[in-house]
Amino acid sequence: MLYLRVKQFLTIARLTGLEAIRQPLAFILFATAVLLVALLPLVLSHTLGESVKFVRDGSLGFMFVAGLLLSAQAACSALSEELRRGTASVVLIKPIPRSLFFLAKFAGVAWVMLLYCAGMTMAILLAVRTAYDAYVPDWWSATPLLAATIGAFLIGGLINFMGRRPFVSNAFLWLLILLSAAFAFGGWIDASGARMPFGTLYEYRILPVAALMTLAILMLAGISVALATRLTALPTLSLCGAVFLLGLLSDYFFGRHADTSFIAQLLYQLIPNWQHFWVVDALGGDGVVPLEYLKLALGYAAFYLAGVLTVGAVSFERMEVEGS
Amino acid sequence: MTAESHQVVAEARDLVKIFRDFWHRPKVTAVNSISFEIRRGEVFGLLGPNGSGKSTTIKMMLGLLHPTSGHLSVLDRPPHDVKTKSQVGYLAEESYLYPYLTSEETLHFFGRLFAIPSRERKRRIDQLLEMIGLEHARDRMVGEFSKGMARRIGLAQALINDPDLVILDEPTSGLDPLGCRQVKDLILALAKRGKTVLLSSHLLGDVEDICDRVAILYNGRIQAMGSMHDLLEQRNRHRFTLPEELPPDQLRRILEEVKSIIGAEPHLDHPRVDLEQYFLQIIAEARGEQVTPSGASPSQTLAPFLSEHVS
Repeated sequence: MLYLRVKQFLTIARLTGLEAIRQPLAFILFATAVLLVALLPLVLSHTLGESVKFVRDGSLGFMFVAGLLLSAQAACSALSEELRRGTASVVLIKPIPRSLFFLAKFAGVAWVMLLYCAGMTMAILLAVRTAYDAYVPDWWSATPLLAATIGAFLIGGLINFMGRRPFVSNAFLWLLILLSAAFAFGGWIDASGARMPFGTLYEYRILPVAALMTLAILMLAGISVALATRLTALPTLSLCGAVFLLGLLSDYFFGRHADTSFIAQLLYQLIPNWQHFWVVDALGGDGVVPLEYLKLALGYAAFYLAGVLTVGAVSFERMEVEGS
Repeated sequence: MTAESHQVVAEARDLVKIFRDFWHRPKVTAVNSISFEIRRGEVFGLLGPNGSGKSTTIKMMLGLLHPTSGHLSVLDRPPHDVKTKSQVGYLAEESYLYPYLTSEETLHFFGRLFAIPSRERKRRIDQLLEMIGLEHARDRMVGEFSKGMARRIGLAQALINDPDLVILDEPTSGLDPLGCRQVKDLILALAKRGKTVLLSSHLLGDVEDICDRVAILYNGRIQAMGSMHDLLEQRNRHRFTLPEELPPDQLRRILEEVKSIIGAEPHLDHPRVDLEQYFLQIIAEARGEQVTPSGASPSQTLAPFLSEHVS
C-alpha cells in the first residue's frame, strides 16, 4: 500500500511539475528574470564603486518578485485550472486519497520553484562577478550568462521544429542546463580568460540570502496551492498579491499594534512576514547571514508550510469537484 | 438473464442532491429522491434532457459530489472509498486530459496511478491503442487531437485498470458513425465479458441499440425505468414479416383476408434498414474498393487484457 501511495504521489507531482513548466508564462517569467539579471551589471557600470551592491540587491529583488509570481501562477495552473477544466476530476476518480493529490500538487509546484531558484542563484552569482570591476564588465561571466538565455530559446525552437516536442518546457529545462554550464564555465575562468581554481570569483555570501528567498517562495507556493483548492485563478492570484504586500509591510501594519490589539496580533501571526526572508542588507560590508538565523528561518518556514498545507488538505478533503 | 446479473453493483435509494449558494441556501435540486439498482453484467442507460440530473447522479457515483440525503453504494462500498475507485472506469462527457501529454504518456500516467507494473502497463497500452485505432498517434500530443480522437484516448484511460464498472458519459459524442458503432460494439463486448456499464447519452438510437435497461430522468426525478423490451414494446399492436417477396396478387389476397377478419384496413409497407446500418454498408463496400480511410482505424476486437480477468 505504501508503495502504491508513493508511486501515485510521485506520478502526480512529476506531472504537475511538467505541466507547470509547460505554461508559457512560466518560461517568460524565468527567462525575463535571468535576462534582467544578466543585463543589470552591463547597464549599471560607472556607479562609483557601488555596482556590486546594486547588482546584488537588484538581481535578488528580481528573483524574489518573479519567483513569487511564478509560484502563484504554477499553483493556479496546477489546481485552479485543473479543477475548472475537469482534468482534476478525471484524476480524483482514480483510487487516490484527496490529501495525497493535494500534497503531490504542492510537491510538483515546489519542485519547479526549487529549479527556478537554483537557476536564478547561479545567474546572480555570475552577474555579481560581472560587476566586480566598476568600469569594465567581466565578459568571461557576462557572455555565458547572456548566451544561456539566448541559447535556451534557440534550442527550444530547434527541438520544437525537428522533434515536434513542446517549445516552452524544453526551453525552460535548457535554460537551467545552460545556466549550469555557464556557472561551471565562469567558475573555472578568471577575468583575463585564464584557468583558475573553481569558484574563486563567486560571492558565496549570497547563497544564504538566496536560500531564505527560496523558503519565502515555497511558503507563497503553499499558500497559493491552498487557496487554489477553493478559488479560481484570478482570485487566487489577487489574494497571493495581497498576502505578498501585507507580508512585506507586516511590521508596519500589524507589528506595531500587536501588543494592544488582538486582531493585529492575530494577523501578525497569520500573515507571513517576508521581511524575515529579505536580508540583503546583511551583506553590507563583509557581513554574512548567521547560520543560527538560517535555522530559525527554516523552522519558521517549515512550521508555516505545515500549517498552510494541513488547512489546504482538510479543505480539499470534503470539497465537491464539479469540473466544467 | 443469468444468476450473476442479479448481483447489484450500484444502488441508489431516495438519493437527493441539492446545490446551495454561497450562503448555504438551497439553489437547485438537481436530483430529487431517485432510486435504482444496476446489476452485474448489464448495460444500464441514464436518459434525459440537459439539466435532468444525469451528470450529477454520475458524479455522485464517482465520489466527486456528495449526496444531500439518501443512500448510494457502488460495488458495496461508499462511492468515495478508494477501493471502490480502483474498480471503476470513467469516461467524462468532455475529454478532460492533459493537453501536453502524448497519447502514450497519458495512458502511462493513468496506469501508474493504479500501480500497474511497467511491463503489464506497456502491454495494456499497446492493446488499448490498437483497439481504439490510435497506434499511429501514440507520440502525438492529446491537445492536437480532434474531438473524436480525444474521446478514444479518454475511453482507453477509462479501461486501463480493467474495471468492473465502466461509467460512460456521452461515449459516442464527437465520434463519426464508424467510431460510434465501434464504441457500441465495445460496450456490448464488455458486458458480454461480465463488466457492468452505466451509460448516459442524449442519442436515443445508441441507447436503444445497446442498453438492457434504462432510467429516464426529467427534472431530477426518474420518470420511467425498465428493460428496453418492456418500455418500448406496444403490446396491443402486431406486425407480420413475410419471409420472401410475394407476387402482387398474393399480397392483395392476404390483405383482403386480414381485412375480412379484423374488419379494418391493415397497414402495409416495406421494411427499412436504419441509416447507421446503411452507412456502415456503404463504407464497407468502399473499403472493399480500397478507398483510403482517414483518421482512426480501430481494431474490431476488444483489447485482450480486458477479456482475461472477469470477476
